[in-house]
Amino acid sequence: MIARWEQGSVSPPIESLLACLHACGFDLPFVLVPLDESVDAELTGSLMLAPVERVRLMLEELAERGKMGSKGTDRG
Amino acid sequence: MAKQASAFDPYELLAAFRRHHFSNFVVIGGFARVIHGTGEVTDGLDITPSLRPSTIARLEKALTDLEATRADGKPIDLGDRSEPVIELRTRAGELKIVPEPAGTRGYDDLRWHASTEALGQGIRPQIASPADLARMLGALGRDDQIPTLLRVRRLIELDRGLTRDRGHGIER
Repeated sequence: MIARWEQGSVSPPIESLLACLHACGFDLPFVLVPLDESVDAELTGSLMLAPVERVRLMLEELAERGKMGSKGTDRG
Repeated sequence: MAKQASAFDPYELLAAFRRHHFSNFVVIGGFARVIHGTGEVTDGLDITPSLRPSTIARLEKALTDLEATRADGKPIDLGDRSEPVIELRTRAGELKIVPEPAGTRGYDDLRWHASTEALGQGIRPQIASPADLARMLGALGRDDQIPTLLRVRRLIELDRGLTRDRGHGIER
């Protein structure tokens, strides 16, 4: 069952998820926070581009940062 | 002593892989996220290769072509499974080989949901799915990666919305 959760083929009901977490000695508090939509316009714009365009823009930005002498990455 | 990192050229890295018929790998990490549209900037390529001996042999040839050296100056040993990440410097920039990224079971796990993306110049690598990229970020458990994780999750949500809208458009 957990393998299917891990693979994303099914999503666990909240009750099952909490039962698992409790069995592991953890809890998951549900706290409402405002949805951050500040990046939506940027992400939507990016989604409208072809992958090759996304890479081209990233390489241009990287070259620009290189010219300015800053090494900038968000690797992870 | 490790040499200075060269400028990042993902096309040169991926073209070298193709020249040596090394194709059983999945692009992960920042570059994969860029391809999916997160709008990040990254200066290296991270890959998860198949660990079959024939694949590793092809990767070794590609690494020789790319003049790869380890960032820590030690000899490259792709057969050493004790290291979670092998960091390399090449003439086309940084390359990380991650046999089993956090939260995954490696190549055979990731290729299941990976997509093949045309990046131009005849380059068409397999890219880890956004859901798998989010899974990896979550499993890393690094606070500094939380904004990136939230960004990937938001991207997935927005993409679903756009896909739904496009579908409705076709129905009309």
